[in-house]
Amino acid sequence: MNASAVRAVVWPLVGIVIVLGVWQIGVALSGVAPYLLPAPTAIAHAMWQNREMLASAMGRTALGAAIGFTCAAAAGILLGSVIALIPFLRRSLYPLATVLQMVPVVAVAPLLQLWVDNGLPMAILSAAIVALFPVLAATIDGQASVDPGLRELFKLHAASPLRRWWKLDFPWSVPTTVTGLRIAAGLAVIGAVVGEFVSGYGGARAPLGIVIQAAMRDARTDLVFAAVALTTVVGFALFGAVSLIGWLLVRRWHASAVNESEDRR
Amino acid sequence: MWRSARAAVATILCLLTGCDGSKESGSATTARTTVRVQLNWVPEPEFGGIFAAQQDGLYAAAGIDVDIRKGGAQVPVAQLVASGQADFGVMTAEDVLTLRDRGGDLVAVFAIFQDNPTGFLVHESNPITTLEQLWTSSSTIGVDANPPYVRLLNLKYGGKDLKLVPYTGALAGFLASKDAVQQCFITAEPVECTLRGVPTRVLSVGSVFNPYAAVLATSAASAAKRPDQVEAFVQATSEGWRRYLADPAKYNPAIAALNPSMSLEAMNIAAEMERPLIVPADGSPIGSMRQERWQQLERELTEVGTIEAGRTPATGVLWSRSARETATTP
Amino acid sequence: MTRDPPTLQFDRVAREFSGGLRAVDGVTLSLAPGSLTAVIGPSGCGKTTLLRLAAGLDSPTEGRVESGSARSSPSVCFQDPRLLPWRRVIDNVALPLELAGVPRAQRHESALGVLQAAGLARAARMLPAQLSGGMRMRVALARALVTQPQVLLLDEPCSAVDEFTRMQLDAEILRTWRACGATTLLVTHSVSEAVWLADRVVVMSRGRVHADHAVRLERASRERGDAAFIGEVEECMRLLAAASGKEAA
Repeated sequence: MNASAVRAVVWPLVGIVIVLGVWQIGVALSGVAPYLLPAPTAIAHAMWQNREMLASAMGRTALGAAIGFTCAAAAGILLGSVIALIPFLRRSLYPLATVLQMVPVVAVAPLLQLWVDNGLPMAILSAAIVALFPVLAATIDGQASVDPGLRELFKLHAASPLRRWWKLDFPWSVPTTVTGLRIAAGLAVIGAVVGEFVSGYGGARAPLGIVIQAAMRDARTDLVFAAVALTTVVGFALFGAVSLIGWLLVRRWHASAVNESEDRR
Repeated sequence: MWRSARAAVATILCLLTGCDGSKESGSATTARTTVRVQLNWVPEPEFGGIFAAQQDGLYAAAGIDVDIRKGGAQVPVAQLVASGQADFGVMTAEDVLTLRDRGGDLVAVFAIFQDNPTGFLVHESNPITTLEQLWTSSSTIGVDANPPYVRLLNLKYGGKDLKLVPYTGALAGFLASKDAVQQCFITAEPVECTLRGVPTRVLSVGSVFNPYAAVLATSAASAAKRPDQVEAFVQATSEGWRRYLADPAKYNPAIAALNPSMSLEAMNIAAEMERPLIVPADGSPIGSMRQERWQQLERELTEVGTIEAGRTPATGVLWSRSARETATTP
Repeated sequence: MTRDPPTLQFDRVAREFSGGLRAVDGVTLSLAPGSLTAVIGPSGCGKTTLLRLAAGLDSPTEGRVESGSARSSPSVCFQDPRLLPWRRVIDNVALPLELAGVPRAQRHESALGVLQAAGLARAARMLPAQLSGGMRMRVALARALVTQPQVLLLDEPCSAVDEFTRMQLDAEILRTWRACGATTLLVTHSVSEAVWLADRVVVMSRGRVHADHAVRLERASRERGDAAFIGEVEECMRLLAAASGKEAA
């Protein structure tokens, strides 16, 4: 492990420790009620005490987010490619797609409940709806902004639009699409939790969204924080996984990855 | 720049430590103080007495300006009152004991519902007729997230085949499916359904769990500081309830204006239905509470694990000031 | 004596853009097969448009362009390498054959062949990001040759590299032209490059041909610091100045 990789991990950790320390001391000094703002130690305690329940809840939320994200990624790339390939579609459908982004899923979720089963299906659908637009937009953008010089090269060799798309537009767009996928990953977790708020299962099959609601109702603010923290962990994990895959795809040839490795030298 | 920074820090600390921003009234006679009352649902007949007292100027006559704030599904009323962001709040008795266990200092000053109007709403066509049948079935039920009565029912009947989903208060999901079951207030959702011509049945929770289903609570600290104000508020509220129950039609229009999702007709019916649940059976004044029922609730909450045994005994929960507490044994 | 039909020919060609701009304004030019012709001129004189017309990337609004033949379309080497960054060098060089439907083994063999001839065989499995600017241009040149074209169009191929690399590239161009015998059109803004490489230097200005000068030095005796060479360069520069000045007057 080289020195700069170690630095990249150590400094954020130091930052987190400092923040937690200030938080802990602040709570102790100000005497704020635990049901308003619990200390980090109380949150850790709640996490430990409920570790089994939280672990399975985390797994459920992660599953909903991951499946929703995957559906959105596939649909976004497929739909985006078709739209990018046909100019008429790009002019007519792309503005409609932006409507997707504008509709707040919090408002739409109760409606979705009428059409989709409670529990995991709702979480998946909410996650997918929220994650779709970034992938769609990034795919279209990436494929529509191919280097004109390269486009000309293909025109010179009389390549058919489909061949040009497969050999040029699509590989060219991968870095941009990956950026959209990374954004979508984080949003997918938010979408899954919103779906859970509206129709997640309570009791033993509770995902993190329901744990949060139940803990709020029970005035267990330490558990609320613990569940929220785990939601963030799920978001990071999905984001990290997508980033890793993206890096693997482009690391040898794209400026973003190449520059990074040069900076480190 | 320093002054505004100091003021900002002071405000943040103030919010965190729970100091309230209401004006201090040195003498109870001259200045009119503003009192914030936080409801735990949207304006409905279940808060009729409070609205009536406001409408008839009873609070004003007692020197109080009352600011009634509507609530909703996720509003944490108990926390708001305990941290001083509201002066009084409507909450369940369980909320009071639970927050006290977590360190919040609340005292209950007035009981709105003597008996529990909570129940489960099923369609008439649903073969389930008892709580036990419901709890041992594999129905999907819309309930609040993990309230004590659900845990109590789980203890009693198991309920492992049930699918519990969040209760959002919207009837659309219930109307869409004949198998749907959801939590309800006997004065609200069943009335709506009847008016829409949808036959339903209510499985009352009161047979299993019957605390004071809605109480007015305030923070113990502010009650100790301004006992006259609390007493005045309680007296005005009691009279307001008396007037409301005597003639709901006089006060419901104002409430209906604040709540577009419930019709005036439904409100009038609801007011009639809730009267026997509000007026104490033994003839005590509206709002009175008995210590024994709080002890029972404490036992039940300890049993389901919501609160820890003996940590914050219920003996201190009733705010005692003259006639609020009755000592009659059942 | 019968003459071989020229494979690159402009017949009263004009290209007018919207707004009335005539980038090429009546050019008649005929390139002898296998010859290397340089086109020079000030910016905006239409030399690049002329090349694009020859490449088929643009169509004349008047006149006729004959370029290549039915069997063989012209190859182009642009100012920038235009390599696909995610493909290895050998796959980049093989691209024209790939788009023409040539099977993999065959096109790789051809690609390796041109790379070896250019001394780039060791770079075959590398990615463009791993190469220097000069090497990338050489790869682009190799790609232009992989189809064994009869017409080769070079659009200022050395303008983006430093002086020393330019000389290396020029040597490369000379070598490949000799090896493949394609009729070659070189557009350049470097007069010395034109003189060093070409049989014939065409001077353009404002869309028209103003001078057509045959280089009188044998290639073997073209030395850049040489008096005779410098004389040729000066002659071309006079023609260039005259062409620009005439319009300004």
